[in-house]
Amino acid sequence: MHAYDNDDNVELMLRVRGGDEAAFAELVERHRDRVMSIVSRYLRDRTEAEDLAQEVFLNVYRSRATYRPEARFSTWLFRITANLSLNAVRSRAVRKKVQSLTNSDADDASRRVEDLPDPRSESTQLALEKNELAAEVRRVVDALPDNQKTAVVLNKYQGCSYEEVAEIMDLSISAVKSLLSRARMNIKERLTPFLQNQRVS
Amino acid sequence: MEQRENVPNSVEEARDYLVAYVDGELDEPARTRVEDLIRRHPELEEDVAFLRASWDALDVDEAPRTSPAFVDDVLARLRDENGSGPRVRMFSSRRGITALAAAAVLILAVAGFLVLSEPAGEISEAELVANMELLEDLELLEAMSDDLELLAVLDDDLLGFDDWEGEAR
Repeated sequence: MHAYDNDDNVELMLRVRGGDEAAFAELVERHRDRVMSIVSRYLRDRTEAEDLAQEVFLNVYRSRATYRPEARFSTWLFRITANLSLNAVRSRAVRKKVQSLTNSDADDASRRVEDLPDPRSESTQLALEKNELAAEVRRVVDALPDNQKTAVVLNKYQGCSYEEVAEIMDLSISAVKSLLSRARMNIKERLTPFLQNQRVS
Repeated sequence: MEQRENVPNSVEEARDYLVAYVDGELDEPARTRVEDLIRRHPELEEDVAFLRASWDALDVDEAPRTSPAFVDDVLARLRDENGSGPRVRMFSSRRGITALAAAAVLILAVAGFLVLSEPAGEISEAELVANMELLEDLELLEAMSDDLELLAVLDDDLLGFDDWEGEAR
C-alpha cells in the first residue's frame, strides 16, 4: 500500500499518459492555483508567473510518456514547478523581469491621487498596514537563499510535510529540518523590526 | 550545573532549539528544558513570540489566482504544439525521403558503374586497348586455335598434349 494508491490525480495522469486530453484539462483545473501560488513566489510579475505556470503544465504533458506513479502526483508536479521556477529566476533574462520592490513603489507612485483610498479611514489604515507587511514579507522571502525559499514555499504555502518537501527537493528529512530552521530564523530576524514598528504604531 | 547532551544548557543554546520547539519537534527532556529557560528568561519568550508571528505574517502575502482563461490557454498552447508536431514529422519525413532518394541514386550509380565496367560476355574498352596486339592477329590466332582443336581431336597422344598441359599447370 502506497500513499499514492488513493490519489485520483495519479489515475488522471495515467489517462493523460494514454493521450486523454480531457483528463489533462481536469488536472490543470485542479492544480492551477497551487502551481500559480508556488510560481508567483519566484516571479513576482503576474503575467510572467502565469506564463510559467502554463509552462509547468505543458511540461507535465510533455513528460507524460515517462510518468511513473511512484509517488503522489502533487509531489511530482511540485518538483517540476519548483525546478522550472528556480530555472526561471536563475535565468538572467527573466531575472531582469522579476518585479522588485522599487518597481512596486514606482507603480504605486504612478497611480492617480484620486484613485487612492482615503487614508483617514480605519479600514484603509489596516489595509495599508497589511499591504506594507505583504511587501515586506515578499522582500524577506525573496532575499532567502534559493533552497531555503523553496523549502518555505512548499512547507508554508503548500502545506507540504517535511517528508514531502524532502521528496520534492531530493533531500534528507534532516536536511529539510535544517533548511527550514535557518529560513525561519532568517525570516524572524528580518521581520521582527517591522513587526515591532507595526505593534508600536 | 550538570551539562547534558541534546538539551540546551544556556539561553544562547536554547535559541538553536526554538524553531524545533515551536514546531513541536523536541523530545520531552529538551522541551522541558527549553520551557524552563523560557520561563526564566523573558527575551527567549519574546523570541518565541516573534518566531511565531513572523511565520504567521507570511500568510499576508497572498498568491494571485490564475486568470479565468488559464485552462483554455494551456490547452491552446498544447494544441499549438501538437499542431506543430506533424510539421516536425513532415520535416523529418522530408529528410527521410531525401536520404532515401540519395541512397537510391547512389545505389543506381554503383550498379550502373558495375554494369558498364563489367558487362557480362563482353570485353571492356580498357581490355581492348591492353590487348590491341592480340586483336590485330585475332584472325590468325583463331585459325591456329581451330587447327589445334582439330589436331587434338584427331590424336591427343600423338601431339603430346598431356605433357604440355602438365607443364602449364
